[in-house]
Amino acid sequence: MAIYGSVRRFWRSFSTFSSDPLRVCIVGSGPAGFYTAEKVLKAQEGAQVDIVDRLPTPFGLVRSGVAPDHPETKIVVNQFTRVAQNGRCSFLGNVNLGSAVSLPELRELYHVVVLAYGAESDRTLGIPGEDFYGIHSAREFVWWYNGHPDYRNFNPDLTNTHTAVILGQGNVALDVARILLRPTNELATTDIAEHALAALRSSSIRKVYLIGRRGPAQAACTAKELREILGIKDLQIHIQESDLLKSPADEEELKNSRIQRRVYDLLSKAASAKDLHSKLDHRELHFTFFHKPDRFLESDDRSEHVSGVHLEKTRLIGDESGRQVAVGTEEFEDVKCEMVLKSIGYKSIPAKGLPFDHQRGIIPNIRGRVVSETSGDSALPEQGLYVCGWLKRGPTGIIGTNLYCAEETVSSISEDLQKGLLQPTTRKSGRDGLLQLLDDRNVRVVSFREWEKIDSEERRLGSLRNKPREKLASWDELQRACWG
Amino acid sequence: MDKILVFLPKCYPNAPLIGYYQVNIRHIQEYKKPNRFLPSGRRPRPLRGLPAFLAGISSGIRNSLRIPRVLPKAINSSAVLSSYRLFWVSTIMFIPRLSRVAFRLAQELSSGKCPQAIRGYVQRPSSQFMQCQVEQRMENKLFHASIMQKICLYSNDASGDVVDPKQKISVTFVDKDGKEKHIKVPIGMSMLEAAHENDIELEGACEGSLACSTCHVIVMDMEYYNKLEDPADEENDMLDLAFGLSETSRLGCQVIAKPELEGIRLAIPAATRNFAVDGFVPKPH
Repeated sequence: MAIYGSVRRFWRSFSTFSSDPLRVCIVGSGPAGFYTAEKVLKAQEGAQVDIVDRLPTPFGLVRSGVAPDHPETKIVVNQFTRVAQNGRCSFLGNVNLGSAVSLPELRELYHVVVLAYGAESDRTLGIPGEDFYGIHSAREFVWWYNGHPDYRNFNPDLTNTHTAVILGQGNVALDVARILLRPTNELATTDIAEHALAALRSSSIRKVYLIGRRGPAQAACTAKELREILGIKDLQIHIQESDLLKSPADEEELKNSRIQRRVYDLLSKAASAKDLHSKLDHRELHFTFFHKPDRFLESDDRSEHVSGVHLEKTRLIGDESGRQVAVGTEEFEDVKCEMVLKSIGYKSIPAKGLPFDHQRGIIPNIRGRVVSETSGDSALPEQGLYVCGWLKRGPTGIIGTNLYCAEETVSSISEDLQKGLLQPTTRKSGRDGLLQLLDDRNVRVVSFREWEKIDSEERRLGSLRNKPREKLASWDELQRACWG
Repeated sequence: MDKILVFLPKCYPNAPLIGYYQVNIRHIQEYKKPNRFLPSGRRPRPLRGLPAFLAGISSGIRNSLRIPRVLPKAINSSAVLSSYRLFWVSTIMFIPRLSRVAFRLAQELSSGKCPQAIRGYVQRPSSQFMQCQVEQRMENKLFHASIMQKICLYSNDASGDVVDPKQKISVTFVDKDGKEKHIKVPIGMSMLEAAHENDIELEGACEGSLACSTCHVIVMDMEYYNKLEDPADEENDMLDLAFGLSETSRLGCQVIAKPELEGIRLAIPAATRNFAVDGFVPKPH
């Protein structure tokens, strides 16, 4: 017996690899989380990866951010599904970092914790009147029409609105404008949430302004989205020719950037195309450049409700880094509207107990390794804690950008593993420990199988309405679908 | 001999593609020209199984080809001989079809990617006639459909040609570490699909629907880049967002193999390599 025990211990010391796999926990199941999981599974044989998300549905912004009329962008979900179905990987939905389990507890249970929970908040303008009714962030509006369960009861007032103002000219702004202006029969065959489709059908919005601080040469949108919105049926595009004048600095910028060049060409073509016929129920899209919001105007009839935006004209000057910045010129004008959507950027939510760079909206890190701020010059990396995705780089980039981001983070993990910084020989309870902990706290976990139940239910409901899927947009419906 | 093996091509509804039957000679001998009443006054037994099958074939052939009623007489005179004759007639009628079927099957099997449907088809034992009518009509189109499905899955703007497995060009992929891999790509296949078939690490997030830039490859020689057709607006839109864009960048799902591209070398961009000719690479979303 003693010999057996000693042989076992002897064997164990050489086979720590098989008995103690590297346990990795990824918080966030969007593109960053899944790409990180895929690369960890490939780089570390035998690693056990758990992807944790606070929603019962995985895939993050691919599900709740990509516009319903862009189904091809969502095809990447197939690749993520294959990762989740890998035997060494599991998805744990309905687990909230902070309320269900804390970060120190996760770091206790896993060798490696990767934070990839993205950006669930917004940048603020910080101008008077920002808290009026009728002013929302574009993120909330996008979550609402994409059936995010947190925004089921968002209910934007589209029936008493004739004009909507969108602050910002990035792709999210264009998405929101397109959903507001697109004929609803075209939206009826997409996976847009049903409550949003009903609201849009009864919408009286006929005019949408896209307001940007700088000019067409600095517009943050990309050619594909711009082309799409300029091609919407029965939509009148208004662009002022005077805005299209290029300064020498603009020429320089355009020369160096292919994206900006193509966007500028599209805008100048749209400005020169004269739309002669105007139908009775036509819709208008106005591109307003060189204006920034100064304050919001309150309505006389409805208190605390927005009735317009007080805009200040801007001009561009170069700053120290050579970038052109917009500064006010003290010339003002007003735009009347009943709804304002701020599309000026997302912002991450800080994690409790970790430093946070509020200016850039990221957790301070070096190539994905979270660093804790020390008083000295050198920043100490936190052991076993990493970031990936928007939380690491800031809320910019497309789905594919996370590929390279994940590669960098995973190579940092592999390097640290090789240097022995991750205590791979210490036994960590990993998935079993986490499930036990959650069970003790009465938190019911949604497994990937249960998500597949939700998925097939959504597709079944969608097939009844000629849609690819009918999203279950409330917590109750989701719980009923996966737990019966 | 009591039993013979009869190989018959698919010429009868609800029959599998190729099947064989063990036929009892006696049953063949019992086949007669359908007279309402036999000399003895008894009504003939209803035909079942193979005799009914053969009866069906002969009437089918007769009806479609308007053969004068020589055959039935021949059958009547000598049942065994007539059954062989019938067999050969039906075989000869269907030899072209049979050979086409067999050729395509051999082609698919040799190329190693036998479409799922066909595999199931051939392996099904002769006794199972569980085929729905639609499938039977589509049986010759199954080959094309499965091939096209694979092509369409990977190349949105494909030339539309069927992949020709015989003609291949050699392509070299250079991965992020500079390692080269030489592969053979059949004409008509996209580079993305070829990379996936040869375990080359080329991402294809949108699976060839021009909605991402993850299959971005850099054509290493300008002369080959010029041999490619100009990218469409949609491809250019996606290339705008590609990491490490260069002057000779293309999307792998849009580069379709053709004979002029023999020997082309494609580099997979690395995150660290900054080929951006345009200076900084903006990251919109």
